[in-house]
Amino acid sequence: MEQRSDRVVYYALAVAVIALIISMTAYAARGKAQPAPTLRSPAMMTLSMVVATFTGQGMAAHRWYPTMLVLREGDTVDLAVANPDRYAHRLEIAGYNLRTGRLAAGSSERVRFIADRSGVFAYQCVLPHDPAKGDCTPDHQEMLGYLIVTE
Amino acid sequence: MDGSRSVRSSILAGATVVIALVATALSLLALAVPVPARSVPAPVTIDLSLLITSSGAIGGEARSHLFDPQMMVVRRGDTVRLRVMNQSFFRHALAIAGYGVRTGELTGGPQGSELVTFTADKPGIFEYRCYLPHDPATATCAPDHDRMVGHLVVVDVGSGR
Repeated sequence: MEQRSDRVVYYALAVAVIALIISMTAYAARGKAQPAPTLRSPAMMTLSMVVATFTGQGMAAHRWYPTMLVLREGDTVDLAVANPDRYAHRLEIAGYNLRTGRLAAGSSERVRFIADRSGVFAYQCVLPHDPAKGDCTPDHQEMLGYLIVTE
Repeated sequence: MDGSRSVRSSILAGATVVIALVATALSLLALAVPVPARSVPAPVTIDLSLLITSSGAIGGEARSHLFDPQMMVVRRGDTVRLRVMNQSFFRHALAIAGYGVRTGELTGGPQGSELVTFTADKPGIFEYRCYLPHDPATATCAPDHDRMVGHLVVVDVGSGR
């Protein structure tokens, strides 16, 4: 009789230890269990970006067109930057460490990058306005666009 | 002999109860700890100039009027500083429906610019339009008034959408 109750206690102890191990594992892994992200294949975007000139009221406004680029993290962008304007421009996406060369009037350049970081990155013309050299235009500061990379 | 045995049995039973209690507590804690929220990106300020402009044949009269950009994409929580400039020969204005954002009447030219600032606190797609009805007598807006439309897209990145 005594021996039997002893055995029951041993069984109970074994079960409790197993329960302890399982709960420790669950505790260590708490919060980590998340639904696996749905697999998506990265997109390859081939796009041309131009310097657009809008005229009216005796003034010309210069803008990067498109003004906004929306990508998902992991997408690849093949961007042909063209400058049909009469003045030179130069595109920079500072947050992506990306720069074209000086784009003279009528020239273009191809840049390629992988959107490997999410966030919002401004792109702008980094050629200071210099009428003597035909560099950029007085509304230089307004040539601002945004690259939005979502997770 | 019997006494020491029952003592040992009691100790074992006690240890079993303690271990079971600890296991219960741990599993309850594991259940109670919330799943850490996805990191919400820090909001940024989007500085943009929005042009009210027109297009048409070179040297000819303007055929259509448009907003540039025609689509603004921002993340929820971002702040938008929008300098609205009217480059056309007509008076225009801008209103973003659903955001309560509107400029005053803008005459053409650089002097007719206005800065509006808002925080994109609602996700969704919102139209922006000229809210001045076309009136040729006062050179207000243009015949293509109804086609002057742009979209503000506010994406909710915190939820992974």
